[in-house]
Amino acid sequence: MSVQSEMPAIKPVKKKLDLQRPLDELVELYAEIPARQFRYCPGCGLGMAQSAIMRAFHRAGVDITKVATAGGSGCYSVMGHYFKSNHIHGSHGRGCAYAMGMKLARPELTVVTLQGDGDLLAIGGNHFIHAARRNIDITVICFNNYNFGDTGGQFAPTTPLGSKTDTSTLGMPEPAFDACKLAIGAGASFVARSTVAHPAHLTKMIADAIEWKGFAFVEVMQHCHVLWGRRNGMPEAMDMMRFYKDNSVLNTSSVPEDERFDIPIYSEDEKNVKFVLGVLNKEQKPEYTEEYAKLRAKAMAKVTGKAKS
Amino acid sequence: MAKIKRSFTVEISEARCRSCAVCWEICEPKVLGWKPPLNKAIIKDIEACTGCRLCEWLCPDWAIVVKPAALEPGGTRAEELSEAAS
Repeated sequence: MSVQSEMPAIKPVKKKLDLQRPLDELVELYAEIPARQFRYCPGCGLGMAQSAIMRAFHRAGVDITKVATAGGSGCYSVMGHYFKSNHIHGSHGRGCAYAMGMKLARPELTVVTLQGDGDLLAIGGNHFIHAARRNIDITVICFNNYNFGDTGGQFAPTTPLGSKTDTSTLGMPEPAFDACKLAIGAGASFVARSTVAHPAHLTKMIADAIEWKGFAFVEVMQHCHVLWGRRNGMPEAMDMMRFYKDNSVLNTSSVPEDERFDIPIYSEDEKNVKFVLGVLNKEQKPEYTEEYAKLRAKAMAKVTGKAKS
Repeated sequence: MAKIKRSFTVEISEARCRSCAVCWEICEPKVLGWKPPLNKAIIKDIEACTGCRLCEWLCPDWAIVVKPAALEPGGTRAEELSEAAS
């Protein structure tokens, strides 16, 4: 064995949080935006979330040509086309299925799915829970805006109990999904939640999820003031931003001071609090593509062993 | 010791702005405002800008870019720095 092979590999230097990089330089590096305007409604939270995802790519230090994104149908579905990454715009709800295929075929890629709440939890629910169960190294970002925005504001599995939508004009009679609890129950190894009203925290959560080895799920609370907010007394974008700001707490007090971003700490007395932000679950589990490679090696050894004998 | 006042430049792209009101409502020192009839965002008082960059981070149409003002020899920024040093 040579001396060089015994030397430990040089670890890449961890980049510091580069918050001061201006937007136009980041756009040049990571995004391919149209010359005039986005497809979203004026003031939509998807534009803010898109900005946070771009900054998260920058913070995680990924090569944008080695990123593959997948998505289905919804308001968010143009977002993949606005990045310089490779993107598959597939059928409704199948983002996780495409992402798993891409990751198994090319394990060196960073695979991110961009999906909405109706897309991921209603139609693609099975793909989501089984991707979480296998703990495959993909990042699932769910934009939760409480309704099916692209089709006119029908109720979704995440619509809160009692709120009004296009198809529940007297109030939603069904209780809502908690996407993070579903992900934890299905076996996701990294689960986090943030809102667009906390952009620095959101950027950190998405960057941590991209860096995580294993299945990572981030729920982004993103407002739809045009369809959901208008019917529930919050007709402007800033009304919903204040709603998120007033109802959010961090889940743990073990977060260091400089990573709290002025968000109050969660205490058990606060029963009326709606959104618990931060990393909700983090556990080490065997990763699926590595396990699959081991299985393949075992099968190859069996076949070649038989051929020799 | 004199306070160092940092100055910033704010660029707003009028083609991208869609008058959603997020930037001028989130701006605490009221640097940004709006101009009728289309209510597009404009700069009202650039001297008040503290450089928190919240408008840049939260603009859904990516129309705003905030940058620290360039150091010019003999400009206001250099004067401020020399004042602070003395």
